[in-house]
Amino acid sequence: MMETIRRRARILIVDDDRDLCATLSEILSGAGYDCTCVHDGARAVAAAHNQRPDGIILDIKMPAGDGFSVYNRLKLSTHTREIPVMFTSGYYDGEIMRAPFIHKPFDPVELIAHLKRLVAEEIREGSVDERGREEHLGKGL
Amino acid sequence: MRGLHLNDKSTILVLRWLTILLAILLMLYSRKGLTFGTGAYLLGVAFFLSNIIFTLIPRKHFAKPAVSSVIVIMDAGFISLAIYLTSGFNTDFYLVYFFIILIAAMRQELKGSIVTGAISITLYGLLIYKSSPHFYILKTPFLIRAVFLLLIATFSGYLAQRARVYEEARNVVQKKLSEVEEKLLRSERLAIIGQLAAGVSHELRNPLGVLQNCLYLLNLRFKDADEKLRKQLAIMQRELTRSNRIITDLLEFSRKQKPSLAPTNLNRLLEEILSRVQIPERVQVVKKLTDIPTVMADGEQLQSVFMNLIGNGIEAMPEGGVLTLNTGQDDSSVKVTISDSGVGIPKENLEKVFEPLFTTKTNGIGLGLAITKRLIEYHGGMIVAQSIPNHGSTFMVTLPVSDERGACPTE
Repeated sequence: MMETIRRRARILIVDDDRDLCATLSEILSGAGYDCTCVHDGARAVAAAHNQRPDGIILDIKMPAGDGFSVYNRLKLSTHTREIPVMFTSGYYDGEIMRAPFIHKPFDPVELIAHLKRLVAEEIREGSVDERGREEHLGKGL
Repeated sequence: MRGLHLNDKSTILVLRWLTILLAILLMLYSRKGLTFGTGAYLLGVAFFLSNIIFTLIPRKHFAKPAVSSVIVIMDAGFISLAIYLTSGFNTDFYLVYFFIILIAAMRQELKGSIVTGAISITLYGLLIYKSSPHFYILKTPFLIRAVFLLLIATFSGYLAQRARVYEEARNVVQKKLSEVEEKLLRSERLAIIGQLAAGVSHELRNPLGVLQNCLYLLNLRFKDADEKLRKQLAIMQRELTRSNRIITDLLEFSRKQKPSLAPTNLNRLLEEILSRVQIPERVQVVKKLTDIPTVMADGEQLQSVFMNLIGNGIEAMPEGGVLTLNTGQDDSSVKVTISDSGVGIPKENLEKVFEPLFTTKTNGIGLGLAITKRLIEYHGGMIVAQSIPNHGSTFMVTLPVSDERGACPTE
């Protein structure tokens, strides 16, 4: 089926601060994204596998697996390897991040601009690649 | 507690009072049954009075070589007269010569003690000869006394000299030790602040992030609200930004980042900063940038250094004034001077301005200059502050010149 369907891009927000997740989710919804929130590393990896988001905003310091370990596990799996990740953290220690990084507290306008460079608001579905992913997801489930 | 110092006025006076005591004891218990004339008593009183006068001389004058020479000569005279007025060789007053030799050793070390010893022996010999002409001066007892006087003079002078050398060395070591101790305390304090800062900052950045998000959403919702509400939202934004800046300063301070060095043109860096900083109309900027060599530096760190100094300069001139940027060089370093004609820094605060958490501003936490100083020290440079209250302040940054010398155009 080569027909393309347009849908809003899905963003997985991973942060142990629930208020931050809720407000960020609202902001990104307003900016044209669909958001899901999880609050620890282990759930982040599971959600990335199950929901196949189009982008992940990943906090670094979290319970049950910090951002770096989540990132490494996502990169190990062929199913999640391609998902773009943006790190966010309250620590600004100038460390070289392996993915785009925005430090807290961020200006939402800036965050949206960053995110748009990583993930378009609209995703075209139905291409060969996408179908392959869907099939695999079906098997996995 | 202060130790007994060899050059001390009190030591000398104690010795002199002891001399008087010894003289009295000698008078009372001399086995020869000495008889004293009026002259001897007058001499004793004179010595006593001289000691009272010396007691009254202020300590700083007491240390002068002229005063000590007068004391030694007077003492030698007193003793010789005492010997002369008593019974020559038979009297034990010669023992007092040891005291003046010791005093001389303490005041003028080896040179003083030997000269005093020689004077003592000569006077002693002359007076004995004068008081009893039939006395054979080169008889063994006198020679033994003379040799002992000379030996004591040499030995005490030598000891005094060594004591001084040791004391000087000890002072140097002690000074160094206290410097190291102070540095250690300082770095310990800084490390604690750093740890605390890093911990607190992370915890605060999350809630600040949430507030920032809420403010963003509120701004969206009240896009068309009345001016009053918009103004209040703007105030919230300003305060949020300020809180964030404080946290960033704290984190910056707790960070121990080594500079990544590259040849840096300071004149160009200053020009860049000036083009980025908002300079109020009330402030006039005067640039006196001369050709200076490039320095090996971390451009970003130095940018934060000069940005902070320029910002401080501008803030110090709320009524307006002149901000002067000066670059120059000497043999092995380049100097960047940033002066303002502002309110200045009171003398008592000038030493503290580089200390972390010291501030006189209402909107700062006192880390700006502490960070600045640290960054400059990372580069092997130094920063000095000078200020005249109500006339302005000058901050001079000195940085070592890189090995590869190349002229740095003024542009």
